[in-house]
Amino acid sequence: MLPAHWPKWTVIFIALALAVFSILLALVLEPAARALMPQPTPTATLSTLIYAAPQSWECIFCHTSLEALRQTVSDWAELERLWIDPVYVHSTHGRLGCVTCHQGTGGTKDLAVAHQGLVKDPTLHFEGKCLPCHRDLPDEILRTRLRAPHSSVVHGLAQDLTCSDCHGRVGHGFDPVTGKVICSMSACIDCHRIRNLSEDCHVCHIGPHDVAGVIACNVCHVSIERWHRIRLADHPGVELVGGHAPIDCFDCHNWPNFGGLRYVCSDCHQRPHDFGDDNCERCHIPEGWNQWGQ
Amino acid sequence: MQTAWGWLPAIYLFLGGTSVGALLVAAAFEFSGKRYQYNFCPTSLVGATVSGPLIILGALVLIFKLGAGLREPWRIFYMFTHFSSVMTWGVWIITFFITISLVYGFLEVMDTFPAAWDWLRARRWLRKAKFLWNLPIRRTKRLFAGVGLVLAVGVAAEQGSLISAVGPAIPFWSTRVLPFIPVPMMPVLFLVSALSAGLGLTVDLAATLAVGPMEQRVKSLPWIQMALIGVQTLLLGMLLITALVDGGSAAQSALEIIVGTYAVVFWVLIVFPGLLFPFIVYACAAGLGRHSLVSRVGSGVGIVVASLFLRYLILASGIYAAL
Repeated sequence: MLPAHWPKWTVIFIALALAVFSILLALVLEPAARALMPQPTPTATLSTLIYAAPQSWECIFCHTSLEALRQTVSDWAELERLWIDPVYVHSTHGRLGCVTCHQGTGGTKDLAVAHQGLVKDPTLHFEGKCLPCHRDLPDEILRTRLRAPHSSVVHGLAQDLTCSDCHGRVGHGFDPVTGKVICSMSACIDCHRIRNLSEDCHVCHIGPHDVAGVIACNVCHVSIERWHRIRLADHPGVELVGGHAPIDCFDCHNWPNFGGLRYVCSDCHQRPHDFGDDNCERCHIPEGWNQWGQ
Repeated sequence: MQTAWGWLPAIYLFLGGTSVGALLVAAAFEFSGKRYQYNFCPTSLVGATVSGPLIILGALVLIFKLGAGLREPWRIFYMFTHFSSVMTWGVWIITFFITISLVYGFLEVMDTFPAAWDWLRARRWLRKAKFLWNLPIRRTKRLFAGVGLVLAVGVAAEQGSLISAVGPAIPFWSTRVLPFIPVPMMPVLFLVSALSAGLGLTVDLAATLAVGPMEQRVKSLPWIQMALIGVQTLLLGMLLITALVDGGSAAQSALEIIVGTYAVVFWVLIVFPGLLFPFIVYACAAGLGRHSLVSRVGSGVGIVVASLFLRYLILASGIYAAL
């Protein structure tokens, strides 16, 4: 306890001193504590970009307003190309500001000055523009079961390929990561044809079924836009006609490898009557449960 | 890894939090009547008087962090006019809180030391302020304590909300209380931590130094302090677990805290001095009815220091979301 002759108000200053002491102590102890732990390897970060969001307001004002764009552009197709939906100004890329990626001159209303040094496709310089943020790009995206040639692009092995070839107008409404706006597969197919690359499904897709090794994907999957569009004409073992024709594969089979079936009616159907046995086909036909065969 | 802010905002959050906690404890003693159980209540005196200076010091620290505001100080006044911004709400709440806490502290000093009140009254230049001398000090003080209490909760919640508002860029800061409860954790954690720091400063340190073991005056104090430590531990655990469940950079932040770069700061400078050691001291106080003065003062110092490290840790471990 404090000496009896010390005034009572001394505790106020002791408390204040403790607050200040805590700060000084923390400033000394924290570097020492951190030195005991391994430090992370510094990686390229946002700071490697010249962050210029505040200088981009003039760009945004013009490019989000059709009226403003019409003052200099008359061609409708060109207008449509240059116009940016204001919603995307608040997207993750949009918040970086136009000048950060597209360069040019920010903070000016002068059209010529603003577009001086403009980089139309920043992804042509992806090392400095995209990679600082998008590190460790995967070659296999398991969530969507896709293969992407990220390593080849990043290491310069696919020299005529850059980010925008697949990711298109990313930051302007195209968002392949969240899947809200997805890339049409026909864009991939077109590109593969132009470059004379394989169009085999396995080049890009990681098939989930173990039968993929023996049956080509397009035996069942008939659409390159909708994975779930299926044709079951070549259904092995049981011909799918009548009531069986429109049902989905995994209404009967187990996903992903089609197991779990004994190929008898009782796999799916329950016998509603006592007479007869499990061989329903003695009486019923696939065209309709209530239709009887011969 | 790119971490976010440095020491200055952490110091501001610490000073603000301690100020809030000290005032809340003083107000609690005021309204529960414990303030008047004995002639001299060091907890109320320290809680009421340090609150104002600490928050002022914190605000000054924050101004030094404002690069543009420091170069062009008139810009600071713009912060009072953007009513859609959490920051503007905070600026107004802090402004009122500073005023109220200073007046409350002044009234507490006058109530504790009547000689100071008489000395002031004897000043010639103050004689004309007759309304002042007719004020019922205790009732006025209670009024300011009540308003200060509300504002204190506002300051603590605002500090947490401000951090949470940066959430989309730094997911760890906007971690929810639980994955399925859409309430940000930071305001809750900051409020509980502020209360804990306030008790550490006013009870464990000041009151113990001034009058000895406080549990002899307020029997339930060790239990309250143990409960607060329990809640704080629970909140910290939930924060880390929710961040790990959320994945991405929030999980990376949590891993940096638990086993990564900040592990020593977390375990040695927060968990031990701020949670574990004080809990043992309070448990001894509650169960055995005794503990050494050194250990009680030590737990107070530990809690205060840990509350600063907690704020620093939360800021430093914030990792920007991948774009």
